Amino acid sequence: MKSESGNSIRAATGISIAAAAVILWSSLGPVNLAAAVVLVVAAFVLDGWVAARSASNVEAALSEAAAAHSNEVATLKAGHQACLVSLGQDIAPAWLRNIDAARNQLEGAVVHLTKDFSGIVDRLNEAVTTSYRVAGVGANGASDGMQQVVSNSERRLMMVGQILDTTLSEKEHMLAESQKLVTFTVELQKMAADVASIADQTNLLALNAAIEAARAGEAGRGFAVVADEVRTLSTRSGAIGKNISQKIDAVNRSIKESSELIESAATRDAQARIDCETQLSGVVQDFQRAMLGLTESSDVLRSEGAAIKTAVAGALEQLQFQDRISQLLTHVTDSVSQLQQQLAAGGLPDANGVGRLVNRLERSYTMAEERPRGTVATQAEVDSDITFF
Amino acid sequence: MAKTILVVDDSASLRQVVSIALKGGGYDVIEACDGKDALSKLTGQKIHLIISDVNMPNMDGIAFVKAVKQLPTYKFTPIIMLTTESQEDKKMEGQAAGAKAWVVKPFKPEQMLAAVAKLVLP
Repeated sequence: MKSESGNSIRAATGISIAAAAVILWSSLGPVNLAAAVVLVVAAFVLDGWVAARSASNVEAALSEAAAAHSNEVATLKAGHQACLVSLGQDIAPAWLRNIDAARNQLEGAVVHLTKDFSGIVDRLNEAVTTSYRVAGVGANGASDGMQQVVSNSERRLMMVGQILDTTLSEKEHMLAESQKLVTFTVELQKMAADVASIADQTNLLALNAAIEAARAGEAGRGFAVVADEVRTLSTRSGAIGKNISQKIDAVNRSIKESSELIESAATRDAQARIDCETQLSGVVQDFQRAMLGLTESSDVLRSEGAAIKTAVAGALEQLQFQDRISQLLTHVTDSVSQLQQQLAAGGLPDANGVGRLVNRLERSYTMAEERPRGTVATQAEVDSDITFF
Repeated sequence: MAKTILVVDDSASLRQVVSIALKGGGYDVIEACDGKDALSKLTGQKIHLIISDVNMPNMDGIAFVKAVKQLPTYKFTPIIMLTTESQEDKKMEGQAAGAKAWVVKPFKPEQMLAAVAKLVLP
């Protein structure tokens, strides 16, 4: 509307200038010149007024637009502030809660895992110790358990062999003594033969005495009686000599039979001793093989146990990642808490406030992987380091 | 008789790992969750060596080491710092406080045992 009015006024200005031009063109007299000047001046005054009026209108429109924009910005700011409040009151606590929950769960799980690993190592140590104890190989070299049992058994079995050796030796001694008896019987037999021979000679002598007594007649009668008695005695002596000889033959046969029996028994015992030694050696070898197998299995168990312990030691090193992650999460939650406090205090921090947050976060860093441009190191990449002061 | 080592760390899992490593080497272990707790556990004990974290709540590792060095009974007890901190200025701080060694996590159990064997009091 104002623009249309301005256009009309500007058209009138144009017409006035045109009219002044027509007047001057029709006649160039003083009156016409004055009228034309008046018309032109009027036209410019009118145009100036119109221009001033237009500027005022523009200013009003701008002011109106600025007010509208200001309202719009205020509305947006209020919405933004509400979002920040929500961020500080609702979302940030949820982040912190969830991070804490994750950290606690991780720590609980790692503690559990570590205890399990520790239990595995303890049970393994117990198994290896028991195995060696059973095998009889102590850590201090002491022998007990199976090794001692095998050693004792071997000694006792060898004692059985010694007992058999003693028995065999005694039988051989008996055999030798029996053979000595045979020698004695031979001598006795000779002595019996001597007795019989003496008896025969005595008998012959008594017979001669009896003959001489008969020649002597009455005077030899008493001597004849004596000679007869001597003859009787010599006959009895001869009979006794024969009897002795027969008894010696019987004893001799008995000794021979006994010797044969003893010799036979000794031969069987000697064979039994050999068989026994073979069997005992077999038993001892079986024990020793079993013992060797047991020792070998103990060695395998110890070797495997050592490998498992090395693996568990590696696992214990790897499980320390939880501590690093926990520290990393603590630094993050501390920083989120600081942002939350700033939001609660006055909204979004300015550039300096953000800088301070970043500085505090960076000061809390303890690990290379936390720092800017640092890559997250894997456990294998993080070597342990020891410095002695 | 087994030597006794005090392990101070706010992480239960880390204390567990250190304890297992030390027990595997034949040591007895007492655990504490921070410097304050550790100071209370020193009383009435014969501790041959201390292994302490640096960053802990209530009382941090450096303050704990300084406090231990003020105790006549434990003035000469060796202390190993066990931490994720690997920066030189932090190590210097530990050395100045009185620590004997600085071990950066994660540690290898056999290396820790070697360090303990080197420093533990007879």
